[in-house]
Amino acid sequence: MTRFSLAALAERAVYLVVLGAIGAEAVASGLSGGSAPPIAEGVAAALTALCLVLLAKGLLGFGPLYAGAPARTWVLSTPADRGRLLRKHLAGAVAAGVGGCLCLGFAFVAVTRLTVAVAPWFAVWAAVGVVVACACVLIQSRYGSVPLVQRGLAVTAWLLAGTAMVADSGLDLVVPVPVALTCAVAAVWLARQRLGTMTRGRLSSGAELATATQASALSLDVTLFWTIVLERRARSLGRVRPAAIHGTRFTALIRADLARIRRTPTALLFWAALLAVPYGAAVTPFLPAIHVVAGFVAVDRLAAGLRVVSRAPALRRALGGSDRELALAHLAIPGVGAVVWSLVTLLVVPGVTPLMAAITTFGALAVVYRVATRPPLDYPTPVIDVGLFGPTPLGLILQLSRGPALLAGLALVQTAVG
Amino acid sequence: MLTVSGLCKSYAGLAVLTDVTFTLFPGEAVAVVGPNGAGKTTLLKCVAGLEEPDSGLVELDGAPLRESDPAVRAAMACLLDDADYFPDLSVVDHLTLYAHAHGTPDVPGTVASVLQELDLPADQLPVTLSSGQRHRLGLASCLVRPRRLLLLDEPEQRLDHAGRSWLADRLTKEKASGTAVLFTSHDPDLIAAVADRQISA
Repeated sequence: MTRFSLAALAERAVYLVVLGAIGAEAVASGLSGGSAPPIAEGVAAALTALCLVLLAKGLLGFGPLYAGAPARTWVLSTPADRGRLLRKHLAGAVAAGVGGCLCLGFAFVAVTRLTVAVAPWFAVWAAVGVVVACACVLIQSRYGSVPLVQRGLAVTAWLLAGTAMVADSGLDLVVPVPVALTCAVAAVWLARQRLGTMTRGRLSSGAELATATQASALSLDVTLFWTIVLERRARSLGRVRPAAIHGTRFTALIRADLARIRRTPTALLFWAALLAVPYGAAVTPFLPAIHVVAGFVAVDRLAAGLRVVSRAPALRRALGGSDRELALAHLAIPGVGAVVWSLVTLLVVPGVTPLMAAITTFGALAVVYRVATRPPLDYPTPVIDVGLFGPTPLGLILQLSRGPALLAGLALVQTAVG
Repeated sequence: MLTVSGLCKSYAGLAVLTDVTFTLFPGEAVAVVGPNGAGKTTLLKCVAGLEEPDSGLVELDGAPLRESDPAVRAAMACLLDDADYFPDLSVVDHLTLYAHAHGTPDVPGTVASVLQELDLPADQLPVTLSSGQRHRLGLASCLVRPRRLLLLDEPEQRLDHAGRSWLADRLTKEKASGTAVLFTSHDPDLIAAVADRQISA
């Protein structure tokens, strides 16, 4: 190994230690409590249950077991033991469920300042994750049951969001560790029994989304992911009643955008659910940064129309007018969403100041616009070395500057003035 | 109305279009013909402003054609191979939106007439349409709005026999109403029925 490689390794080790220490400090701070008042247990319980439902929805969206086109064509078409082939996939789904639930367990303790025995607490949450993931596999293995369960989960999510608004005291629900672990083992056994019955059709239901997620993660561009999500939603809707599109050119564009929002209530649910994030973060010193990031994510859920029209030259040609006018019309609904979201947090969340709300309103809208209108990643660009991550393509840096880096800068500004 | 002069385009040194020159007048239809790979679609993309030619000029009403110019978008209705749709707006929503966006008089009447003419399911979302129905939606989006120039890339594709007859009839009517039509095609019957002139790509 050369001296240069050793120096590069040492440099990255330093970064890892620094970032790891920050993470460990955040976890320790969350578990030990702080000076700020805790969140009511009822509210936290309802929000945690809501996140659990969203986790299940997400897992079902990916399958949770899926096989890409090569595996479907070359492996699953053979008489190979399908149950054995899918064991790794099941392990992946279970790991995702456990990871998600451990985060939920940590968040619950962090925001309620509940005193818990750490090992049993997280053991129960891990068991919940296993049960949720395996239940999703069982649902996937039954013909035609996924859409029905998805609809039920959507209704449950809305009910839980409503409950979070009014709940004040929590349920004293105690699950003994042995019971939780027994349920988890039973769930894994049941799920493994069903692996052999998975058809290629059922395994391909989430492959498109999984491929898009991988591509989006590798290219640091969520456009492909959201395009597939939108198409899947549209496929599940199939037919819709005509939207009330009328008025002048500008109002017709806004009414069409409004119709799109009404047809995808999950986006509105996310927008509303994200109101709880700064509420939960009010007890932490990261409130200003979390406020602006949550604001961006919430407003971005309402900007599907802007994303579509920005990426489709054919649509812009068909709609006529200038690109600026089309972007403005499709910024109207996200703009209103940004104002209302910030206003509600200003009124409800302790610690949110008018200046913080104003920065989030304009900042989130600006980032949403920049992200939606950024050009695709240009691969054949020069590579420069900025030290932190080694040689990096200039195109990737420019891409980041129109998305995550811009948001990070905004979070720093918010923290500085907050 | 549309003037194309000295248009050249090549990809990686391979010449696709070489010194293409023609003029299209209102009420006239010009067919771009040639085998696969001859550059028919590239020519239409250069005319529509989607592709930048290596050299040459495309002018609309005497001014250089710029795709993002609102006046150009108002005059030109295109159906090229990059057709796209809002995934969560139905067929009728798309047509109504296009009609309002371009100031079509009597929007409900025009939309209903085009829907019936093209036999499109009004309440379906584009992702649930067959490829043929999606192509018809593309044609409908051109016909539901005012236009002076129609650019169509192989409009007969995915249409059945009756659909091709309807298309020939419709394009003939477009010419009669003063609309200029520039289209590529592999269908000799459609070319014979509609085109006033042919250009070999």
